[in-house]
Amino acid sequence: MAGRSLQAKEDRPKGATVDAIFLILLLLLLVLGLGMLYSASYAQSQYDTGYRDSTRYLQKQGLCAVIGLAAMWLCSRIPPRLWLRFAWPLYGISILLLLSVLLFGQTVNGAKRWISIGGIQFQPSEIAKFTLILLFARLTEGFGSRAGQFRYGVLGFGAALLGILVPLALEKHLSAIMLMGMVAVVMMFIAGTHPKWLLAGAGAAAVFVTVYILCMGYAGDRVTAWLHPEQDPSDTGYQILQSLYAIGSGGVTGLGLGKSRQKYLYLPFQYNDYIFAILCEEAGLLGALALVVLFGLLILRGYWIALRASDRFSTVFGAGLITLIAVQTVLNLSVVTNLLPSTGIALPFFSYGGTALAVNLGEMGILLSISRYRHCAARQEEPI
Amino acid sequence: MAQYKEFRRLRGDTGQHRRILLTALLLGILAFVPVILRLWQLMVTDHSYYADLALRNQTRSTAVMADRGVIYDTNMNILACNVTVENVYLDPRELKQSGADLAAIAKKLAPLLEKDSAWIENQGKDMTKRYKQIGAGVDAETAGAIRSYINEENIKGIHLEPAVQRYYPQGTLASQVIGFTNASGTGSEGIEASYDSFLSGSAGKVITTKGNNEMDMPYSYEDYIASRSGCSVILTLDATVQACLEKQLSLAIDRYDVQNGAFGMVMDVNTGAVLAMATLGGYDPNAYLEIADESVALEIEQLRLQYLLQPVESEAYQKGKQAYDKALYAAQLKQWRNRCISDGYEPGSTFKVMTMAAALDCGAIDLETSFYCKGAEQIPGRAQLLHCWRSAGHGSQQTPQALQNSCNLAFAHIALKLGGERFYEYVQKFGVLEKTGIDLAGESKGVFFDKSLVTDTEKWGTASLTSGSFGQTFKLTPLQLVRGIAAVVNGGYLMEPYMVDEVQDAAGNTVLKQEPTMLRQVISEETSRTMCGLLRSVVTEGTAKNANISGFSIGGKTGTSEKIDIFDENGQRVLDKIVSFVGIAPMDKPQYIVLVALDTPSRSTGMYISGGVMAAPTAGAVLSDILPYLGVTQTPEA
Repeated sequence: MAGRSLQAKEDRPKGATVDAIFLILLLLLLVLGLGMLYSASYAQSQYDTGYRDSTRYLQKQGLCAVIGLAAMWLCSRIPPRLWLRFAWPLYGISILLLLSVLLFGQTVNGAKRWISIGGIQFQPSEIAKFTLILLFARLTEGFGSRAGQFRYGVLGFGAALLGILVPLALEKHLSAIMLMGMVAVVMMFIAGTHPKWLLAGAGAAAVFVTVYILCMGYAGDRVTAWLHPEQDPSDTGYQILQSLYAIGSGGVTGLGLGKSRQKYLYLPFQYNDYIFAILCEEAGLLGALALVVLFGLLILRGYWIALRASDRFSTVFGAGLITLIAVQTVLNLSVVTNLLPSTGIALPFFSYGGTALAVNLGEMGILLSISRYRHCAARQEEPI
Repeated sequence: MAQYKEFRRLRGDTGQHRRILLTALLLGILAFVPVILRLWQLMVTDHSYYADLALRNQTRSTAVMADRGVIYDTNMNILACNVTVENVYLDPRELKQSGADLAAIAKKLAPLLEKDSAWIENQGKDMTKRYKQIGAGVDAETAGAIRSYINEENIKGIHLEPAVQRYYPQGTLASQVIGFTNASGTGSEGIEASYDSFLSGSAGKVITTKGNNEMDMPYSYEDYIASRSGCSVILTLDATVQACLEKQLSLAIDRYDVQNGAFGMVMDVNTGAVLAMATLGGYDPNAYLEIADESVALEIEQLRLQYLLQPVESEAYQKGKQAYDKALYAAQLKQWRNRCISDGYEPGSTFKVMTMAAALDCGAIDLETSFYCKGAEQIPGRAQLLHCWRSAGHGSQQTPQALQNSCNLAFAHIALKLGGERFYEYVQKFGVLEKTGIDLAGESKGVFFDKSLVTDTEKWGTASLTSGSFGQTFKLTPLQLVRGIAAVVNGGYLMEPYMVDEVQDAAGNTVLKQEPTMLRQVISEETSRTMCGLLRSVVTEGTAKNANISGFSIGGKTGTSEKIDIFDENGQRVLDKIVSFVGIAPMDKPQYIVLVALDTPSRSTGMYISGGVMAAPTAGAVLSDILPYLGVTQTPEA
């Protein structure tokens, strides 16, 4: 394995470049995201600093964007197959990090999901998302056509998934469990797990979620707030109502860039999970549609890169990474528009959150490297 | 196709390509469809709904109170106006932070604010609020004293803020007519209530866009809806006439030891404009909740002290508190009550004026009709022997003497000549069965017999008809009586009485101007002239000689009525009497009518209790005060 990947690096065609369309779409989204973050966090930043500074959040996010871009550049130059050998070690480290959160985690916004290493705070679950995708890609290549069998396609993937989900469940990190579950299902589908098992799994998850909601009053409130936010406008329904006010008052053309009113502390997490609502308010339906189209194009181009990858591992790896972006985007937009009940899922490249931005950009770097190395490996693959 | 299969074989892939395409289609396109449809719904279909909610969400509305209109008397003397006062409040947290000596502050402020110092101290200890009002409506002098105290001692946490308060510069004068405004500034009782919609104006508001947590918003707008000041109301009431009336009523109360207060009014007979309307035992509208009558206030305070001695929560405490609340409320209602329009009473002999006018007008009697009074008589259709008030009898008399003597037996015969149908018809035309329609809150009407009771003498006998003829066994309000008698002397025209002459807006433009309203002609002008002569003779020769004053030609009629429907605790009819007099001047061209009624003069004075002895001189004194003031020319020969 290792030899092959090294060989692949040597075989890299001279002058092979990354996928320009994907890169442009990505940079466009990043710039828009930072601009939007500045606008959405403007009032909050002023309020937090006593009107001295309106760029507090932008500065932090901008720094992470620079780090992320560096990571992206680095990842885009690493041959994708080099990741193969790190799949298991990184998976192990992720589980350890997740468990260490339970022991020494820091609490932010009421949830214990952060740890601090060398003064840098980050969420291990962000790393775990990546390592899960990496491991699934690694397993897919190993399983080959046996992925259609129950013991590989279901038990194999399932065991790998549980290794991550169990610590997350102990953290009660519901949104990450949901996100990783969905990404895992999509990757298993791509790997060749029979859809009947996936449907059965989805059914089981649905039953589990229903029972969970019935048992946990807290989550049950969320469902009520989702279906009837107007019943409790000052408490449980507050956030979603404020989001709908922002979106609805945007109209077709919006109030103008920077001119959101809801961002003046009416909409909580306006610079974070609900940044899309502020975008709708400022840029209107036209701006919102433009953003949706940009994300759609990025996602389609991402799968296109995966399809044209040099080998099976790269294909599934790339597909998994773009699936992660896609699922997050769809879930975030659905939550902000109240199609789905509130969960803490951020909008990639837009929402405030340094770890997520840097990791996302690094992951996109891997997709770029897959596009760069697309020509060199197909012939080395043997049918299994 | 073969090429594609070869490609797939080379990939070592069975369907993975298709599955990725399917995933891309699903996550890259289809998953966004619901989001886009939802965005369309929120931002296009329901845009205005959410924009409206968002605007309401982001705006603050602050009310701007409107100035309440002023109430003037007919000479533009102010009866009710607004004054700027100050409210005093504490900020307990600020006081604590500044380390102020709460006990010392409470001790200093207590006498200034007329509050208990322990109470003030407790207010200052309550940390749950940052605004604790300890003094409301403090005048400028007290506010100045508090301010200088705050400055001298450098106290932080005591604040003064301006407020607007209703002020009644004339105090108790005409209090039931003017009424008062309640704690929320709405008019209660009297003119304040009946003209509240004119007086109150409309509050304005300032709408500003504000961020949450009072954050300033750069893209804000401000909207200002100006308040509209209330209209001023100019009454027909004349403060001087009112003061004369109240003074004489008050003197009469002292002189005759009147037990249940007194009431009276002065009205223009030709227009129905009321110049004065008084109910003694009134209150100060500046402190309308306080019981003005000292003895009643003392009784109620006794009740309060009694229940406060009981252990809190005990049944005796609760019962005592209820009794106190009830007594206080009853006393408040009583002192706010305008008896001239709200309470019916038995008019007694004063009503004979209308009976006689009716009988003369329809020709049932003339001035030569003669009657014989032997003190008591068995009237056909009446079970009991009918006694005249003078048991010796009045002997032989003609129509003028019947009125001058106020002979009940003669009036029983007049009623029989008149007949029930015509009697009822005239009573109706004199407005006894209806409210007068005066522009004051709380008017009621009297209680008169069912029509059949006076008309169907076959069935019911003549008791109601004959008693009714001399003003007994039914009730009407003082205003109904005065209006009816005014119609007798003014040429026969029943007027609608009114208290407000004009309503002006804040700029002084006339909004409403009251014109005299003639409802109907009740008797002919000729009958009216005859009646004027007869009423004059009652004063010159009859029961009302005490009302005569030199220089003016005064007419009138006395009345002494029993309260037939009031019983004491033993079920016995009380012997309380209301003595009254209705005076008119000048008789050659009637202009003003005065009613004076004294409720239950005491027997202890030794005076004979009657309208002629007590009410007539009181009314005479009122007239001698007001007629020169009102510019009625004296006639030296009268």
